Amino acid sequence: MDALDGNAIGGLLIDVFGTEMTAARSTCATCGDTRPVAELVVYRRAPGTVVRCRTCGSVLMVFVRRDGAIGTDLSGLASLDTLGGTGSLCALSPGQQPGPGAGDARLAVGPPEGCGRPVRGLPRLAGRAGWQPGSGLGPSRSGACQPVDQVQRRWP
Amino acid sequence: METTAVRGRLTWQVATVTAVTRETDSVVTIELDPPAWLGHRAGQHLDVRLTADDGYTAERSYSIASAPGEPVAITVERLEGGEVSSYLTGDLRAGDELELRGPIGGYFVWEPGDGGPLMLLAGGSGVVPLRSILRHRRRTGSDIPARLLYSARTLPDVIYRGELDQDHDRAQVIYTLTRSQPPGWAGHTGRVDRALLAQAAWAADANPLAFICGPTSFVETAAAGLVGLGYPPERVKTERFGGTGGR
Repeated sequence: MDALDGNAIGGLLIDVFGTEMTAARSTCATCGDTRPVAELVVYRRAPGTVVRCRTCGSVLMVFVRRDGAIGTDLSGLASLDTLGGTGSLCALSPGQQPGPGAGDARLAVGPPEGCGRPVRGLPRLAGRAGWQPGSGLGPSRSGACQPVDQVQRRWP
Repeated sequence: METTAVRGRLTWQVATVTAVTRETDSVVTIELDPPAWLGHRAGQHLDVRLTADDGYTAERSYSIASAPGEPVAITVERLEGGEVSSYLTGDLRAGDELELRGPIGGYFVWEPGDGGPLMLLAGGSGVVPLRSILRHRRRTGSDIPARLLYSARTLPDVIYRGELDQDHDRAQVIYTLTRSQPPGWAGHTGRVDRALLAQAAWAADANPLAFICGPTSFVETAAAGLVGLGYPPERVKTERFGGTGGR
């Protein structure tokens, strides 16, 4: 399965965040790499999407569609900033809500104790063990991935 | 079905297919009339959703081929065994309906104010959003120099060839054919590599702005090559697609 990039999940990100996010600046919580979401490495295999850091390969975001809802795990990110600004760890205080306008949405996803500190070595949040390559949500190393595009189907 | 688009939210809507034009043996351009289209920017894409009788759905993203202000059009390449692309390139006719949402994307977009010169690199059907950029440049009367390096398998696989050759006086188009070349072919052969980029790309000191679109391996090679030539990474915009589209 070829890796895509963040451009490919522009629609999904609008579903999740309510605004265009491919130009948003992401910061990896593991290595501190900062770049537009469009440049991140994306693996799509319904119903899951895994987004990895282009520099260190860490899982930054996981999205899983189920029953019309989208389960979202952003714990690999230190920050996500649609202003394309500082990449700071705490664009918002913990518990603070993003601003009301679509143009100024910011999310702070690092733990509160990370504010102002180097991002390297932040504690990883629980619930990550299942999202490993080969589990169907990352690059398959067993070659077991069957792209849905290989299934023949008739459309009405 | 709800078809009213609300600004700020992206809703699915049912568009009418107004024309289907064959570009190559495996590629068609589909012109669409979505009832609630808020306008798009050059380089953006849209999502298409097909729903089968049993409720199974499949979504795909397609780059918008037309310039801002022109009727919405996508160009689709048939992929081997592709359940969506086979339908769009083989069965869809003018008058049919197609569910879509868009426009999508705020990174791989170009406005004349972004400067240049423009260095566009296409692998196979990766030329589609770059064609939108070239058309936008022409329609806005921009005098920013533009150059397109287009890698295709064979000459008949080149999409928009007539249009690109016609526009040649305003935007320089350089082809490289990777699989076979017609007799007497004087252009480049083989895949895009460092040597070809060094020959064909604007010099880095001109502060060019690059857009690269194509299969993942093509984009990786081309982007690394331009950065190796001194292009600042933030002036090299990339879009990868996962299909096995020819280049």
